[in-house]
Amino acid sequence: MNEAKKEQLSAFMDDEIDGLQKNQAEQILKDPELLDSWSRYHLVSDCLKRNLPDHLDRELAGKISESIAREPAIVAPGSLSRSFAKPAAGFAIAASVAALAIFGIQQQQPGGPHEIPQDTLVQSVPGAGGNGSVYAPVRQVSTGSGNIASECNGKPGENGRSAPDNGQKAGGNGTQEAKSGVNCP
Amino acid sequence: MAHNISDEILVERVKRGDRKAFDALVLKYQGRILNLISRFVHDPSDASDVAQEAFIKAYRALPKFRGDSAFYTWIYRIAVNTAKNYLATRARQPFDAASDFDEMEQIGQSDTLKEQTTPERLLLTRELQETIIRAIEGLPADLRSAITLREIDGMSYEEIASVMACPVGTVRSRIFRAREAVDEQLKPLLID
Repeated sequence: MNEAKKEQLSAFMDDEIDGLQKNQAEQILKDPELLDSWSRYHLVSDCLKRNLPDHLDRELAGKISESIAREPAIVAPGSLSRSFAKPAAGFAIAASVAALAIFGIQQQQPGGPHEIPQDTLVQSVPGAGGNGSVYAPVRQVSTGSGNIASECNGKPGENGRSAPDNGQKAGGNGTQEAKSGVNCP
Repeated sequence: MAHNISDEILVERVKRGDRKAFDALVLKYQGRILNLISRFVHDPSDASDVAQEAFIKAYRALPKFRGDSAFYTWIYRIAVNTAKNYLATRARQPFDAASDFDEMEQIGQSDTLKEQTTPERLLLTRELQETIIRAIEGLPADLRSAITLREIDGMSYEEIASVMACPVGTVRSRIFRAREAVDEQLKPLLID
């Protein structure tokens, strides 16, 4: 085993690489032996940070890898959705600003907005009346089933039984749980 | 040094169709995610199934991950919601003794499902921890300090270099050598 590559892997794990090493570091993960080292290094790290459950499933990563192999390949749809989403979001913001401006002008008119028929107000600001139509194109661009996004946002998921977002924050890299000293629980 | 640069690199690779990069993310976070899910789902085998589901959901949703939050923050939420949904689904299922008995018989006939309940695949963390602690206590002082400052105190290489009064390159080498020494002790425990 090339010690230099393993040392680079160790530094990569700690996010301690510079631009020149970046490509090399990501390439070494293709080596199955280095991937095993990567796995064990993280196991040690999690143990020292008290991030492990009482029982570890030795086959978990393998089972996930098998399942992922059966999934359709991902080919950079993120950049595609972003390129469409940005103009759409920009349009939505512009529409909202226009709505506010029109509403403001109407309020400044003698007699206030109460003298203006409601249907006139609605017609003057198409798509900005809170019916969500302006945002629809953004949603349509998103790929996938949408269930995960709903779950991530704490909204009802695929079967309508999703738990609401409890507002918990993730523990970052988990280091805040670690105590001084080497002892594990 | 940017935070989570390794995650950013791996996520970008997954988005370009590199499944191996997702394997690396799974290997990195499986312990933490399983630990998190175990707080909700107490049966180790069920917790493992829920963790598997959470990772697969994350893979499917990854094209929508924009990196506004850290990858771990994102998958943490997926794992919590997957665990809560699992518990909600379980709570809604009324216990039917007859059908459960039929199901158990079917499980007994299926090798795949039978494997899920074998204890051999479950590694006791306590055994692992004892080995790791022994290995770290047996390290030379400079290696032990370097790995402890990094893993437990969460210091950057630059900070460790300052504390240990040595170049960053030396810190990098010491941390690597410490990891290798621990790894040598750990390997026999993980070989079938």
